Amino acid sequence: MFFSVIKSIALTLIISAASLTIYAEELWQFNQTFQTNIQTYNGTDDRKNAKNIGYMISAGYLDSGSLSFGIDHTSVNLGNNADVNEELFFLSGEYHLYPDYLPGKLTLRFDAYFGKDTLEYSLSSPPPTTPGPGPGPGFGKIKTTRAAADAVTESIDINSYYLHCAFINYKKTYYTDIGYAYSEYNATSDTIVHQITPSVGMGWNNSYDWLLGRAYIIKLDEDTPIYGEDKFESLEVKYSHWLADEPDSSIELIEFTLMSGKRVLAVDPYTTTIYSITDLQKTSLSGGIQWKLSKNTKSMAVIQYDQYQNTTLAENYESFLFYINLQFKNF
Amino acid sequence: MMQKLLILSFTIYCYIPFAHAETDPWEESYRLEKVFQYDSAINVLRNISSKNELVNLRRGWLNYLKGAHSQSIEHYKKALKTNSQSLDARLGLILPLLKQQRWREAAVNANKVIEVAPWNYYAHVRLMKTEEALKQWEKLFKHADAVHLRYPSDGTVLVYMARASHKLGNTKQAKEIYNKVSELFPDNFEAKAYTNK
Repeated sequence: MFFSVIKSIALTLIISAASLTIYAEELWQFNQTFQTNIQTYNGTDDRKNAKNIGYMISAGYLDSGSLSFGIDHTSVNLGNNADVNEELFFLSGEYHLYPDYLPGKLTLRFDAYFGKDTLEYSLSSPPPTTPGPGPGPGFGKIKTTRAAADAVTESIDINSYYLHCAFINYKKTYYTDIGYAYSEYNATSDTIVHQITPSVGMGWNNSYDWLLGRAYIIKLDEDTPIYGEDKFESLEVKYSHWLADEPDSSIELIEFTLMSGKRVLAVDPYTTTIYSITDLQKTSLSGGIQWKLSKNTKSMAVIQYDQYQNTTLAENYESFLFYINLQFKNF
Repeated sequence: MMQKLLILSFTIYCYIPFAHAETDPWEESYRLEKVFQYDSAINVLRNISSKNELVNLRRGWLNYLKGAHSQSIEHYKKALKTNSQSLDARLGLILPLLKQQRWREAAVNANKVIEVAPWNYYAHVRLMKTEEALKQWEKLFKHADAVHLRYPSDGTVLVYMARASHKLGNTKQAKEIYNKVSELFPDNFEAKAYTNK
């Protein structure tokens, strides 16, 4: 019922966006992003690979604010004929304020994520994953036992809310924001995750260069003993270089990101991603390029390397991810 | 004699406040603006109804000068509410919007002026500013070219045209346009720098 309502909203938004194209240039600006990524894992028997496909549409009204809606599907192959499928819906709204007492723009933003992880596996040969709030056998709500005698389906509901307040000065040399995320993973028991993400950024070279530092302070409720601790801290540093809009260059943006520390069940407000994977993320390194394909079309590609730890098995493993998107403005 | 002087002093003393009270608030506001006392220039108009179109235009302008851009926008919008046909209010409104880098909102208002006053110089130049900020180079070049035909001796329009031409990769054309700027305004720093490259 809930998912069919969400799908209806998505369809209505897409149709409305198409019919409002006439006014797009004047009052509304519409953006669409189609994205996909593939991820492979090394050094673990828990996961083989993952595939993701997603779509996002946003409508911005003048310089006042915007509304966005996104859908995302991820499929993780755990081996032993076991798979986790994740459906995620994303809603976001932001509003800009220009108070005279500040030398810049304030942005208030609220994001909501609603999703479900479904794990399917064979009871006689379950995947060697350990239980946890993310995808793993024995933790999700057992919904159905299928016709095949030992096939089991478990599910976990994910709800996450993120609120942030950001400031950027008019000279575009300084940026700061503070965000709070509240996430719930409802399975056989509930896991509550609180996250605070303060960020500071500075721009130079006529704001063609930006350095952004973001801390992730994550606190799990006390009933989640699988990590042996309930507080996780990490720091992410992102360097972005916008290429001067010279006519000969179609490359628009180059960026590098490094994350170090301990991060679990995080909400990444920049990429609007939920890291619902149970394991502990220790390091992440990524590089991306965005280029202009035409006046209203862009594309971005990212390569990402991550190190994870399965805390119960004390097993370290790594993953490689390749991400690509296609962005359309005022389609 | 002393008594006469005392009476005269008392008369002057009594007269000064009355004379001050009778000063026209508009006149006083303009005087204070000239000496950059924008807060006082706004304050002397405080007894005039906030529904008065002209006082809202004046408050919009003074708040803009003062750097209170949101206040300025608010007053220009009030003036537009009273008289939606006012080009004064709409052209005024664009200024604080540009300061707050609200390019799209500023462009919408400039286009509204151009709808009824097709070759209004200020509306076009302010619209060009938004096109530059939004990196709409093709649009800016065509726009500046059309305005240049109407205002052939204007340097600002030519500079916008040259910048757009450069961003579109037409270096030779950009140089020719900057040469024209130099002919009209020999001290123009940007044109000098580009043509000497």
